[in-house]
Amino acid sequence: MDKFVNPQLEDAVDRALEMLDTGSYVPGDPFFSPVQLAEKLQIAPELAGRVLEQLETLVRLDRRGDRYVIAPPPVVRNTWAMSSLSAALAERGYPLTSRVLFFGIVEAPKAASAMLELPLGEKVYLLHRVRSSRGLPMALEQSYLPVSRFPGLMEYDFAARSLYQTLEEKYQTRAASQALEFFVEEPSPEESRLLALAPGEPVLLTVGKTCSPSGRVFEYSLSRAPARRTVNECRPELRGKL
Amino acid sequence: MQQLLSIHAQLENLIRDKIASGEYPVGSSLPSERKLAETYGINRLTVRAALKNLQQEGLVVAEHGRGNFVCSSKVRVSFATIRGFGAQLKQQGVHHVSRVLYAQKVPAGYAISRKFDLPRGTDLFRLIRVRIGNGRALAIDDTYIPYTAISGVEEIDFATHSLYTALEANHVQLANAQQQLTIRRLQGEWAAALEVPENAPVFCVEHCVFDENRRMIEHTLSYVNPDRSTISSYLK
Repeated sequence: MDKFVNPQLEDAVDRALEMLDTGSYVPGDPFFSPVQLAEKLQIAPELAGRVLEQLETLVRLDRRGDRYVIAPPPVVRNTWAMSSLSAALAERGYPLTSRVLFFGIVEAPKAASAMLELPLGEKVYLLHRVRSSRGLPMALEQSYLPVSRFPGLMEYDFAARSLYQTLEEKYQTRAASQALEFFVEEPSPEESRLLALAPGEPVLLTVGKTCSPSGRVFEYSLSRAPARRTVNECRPELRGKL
Repeated sequence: MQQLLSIHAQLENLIRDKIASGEYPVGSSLPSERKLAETYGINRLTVRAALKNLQQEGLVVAEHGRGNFVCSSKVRVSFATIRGFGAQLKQQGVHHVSRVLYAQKVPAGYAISRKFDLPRGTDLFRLIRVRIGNGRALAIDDTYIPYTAISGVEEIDFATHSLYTALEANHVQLANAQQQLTIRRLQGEWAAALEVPENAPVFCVEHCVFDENRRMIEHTLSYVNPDRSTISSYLK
């Protein structure tokens, strides 16, 4: 048997995926135990246990104690065109709600001042929100914005309003482009709690720099999303030499 | 190919080549916009557009009032463009080799046949490679292509040959692509090959590349070591 490819396991996972795709399961439904799956696929229970682990890794199943249930589909975030998270998720049938954890004026920390091209310690707004859909936390978002550019921003309630829509309507600042960097991060205990993560579950950290049509940076953002529940989708350009 | 590219794309490629060759080493400053415009006899706005694209790829960083500098530290992988992994590393001045873990003709199973929209059992070629940059494992690519896409595919040594070069040599025109970025945990030999701890979370980039006739020509799951690579994107 090849060290990297186990045809017996891959074939069993493939057959289990077909069962999941063709069965009438809904998220939360119980799936087979290793013994039941072994019987169904005519394989050894030990192999069936490994199949279930693989399906959990593929986020098709969630583990609840010693049993497996059907996992909900992940949230797919568009990363090829500018749109707010709320608009992007609403298009896919995930209405988004926000809870403001903090909104105030702080001295720009080093990373924020560098990204926003401001002197260190310059006053910036910090808006910290937890974004949820259907009661499930989707992301923890921190946005830093220069106070000098958006006077009076604290009049608005960003639990109910879109930040980008407000900036466009009230300050004539449209989010025209965004540079993003992705990282795998271990969340703090508080972040795990807010995102309702299982112990040890990582987050996908997205660091963003948002620009107006003139190319001026007006927002530095940090978004932490549950790794198991998030997919970023892109339609890349075939550019330059392959 | 080059003559079909816009002037700013040609300038981008020129700067990439100079970074790859070491003419512009990591940490060095690029010539100013004015100097680049004068040297190549092109408009400064065109130069600015080229530099902006290189900044968005993370190959170059602009420092306010000081100019543009060649980036260092982690290897940068662009999520917004499709370019061969080796080509991306070369542009960053990273010495790149691949170690082939598996290269065989396989019949398409249920899941992969659905991706390719081909009947189950159709012959595919599966290629698993560790991508190594400056002696460190950066990614594992688990790739499927239609077996007939590259003639004599089993004879090609993909440790030294680019898959995209082989596709181009077989007149396959890549037209568009879709990518998905997720996080997965790696186990066993795969974790060891990527030099990450057992069960470590890593980036998983799924690439689906299509030809001009909208046929899928490549499906790759690329497991990227997050401690050694940064994935970047650009939205507009």
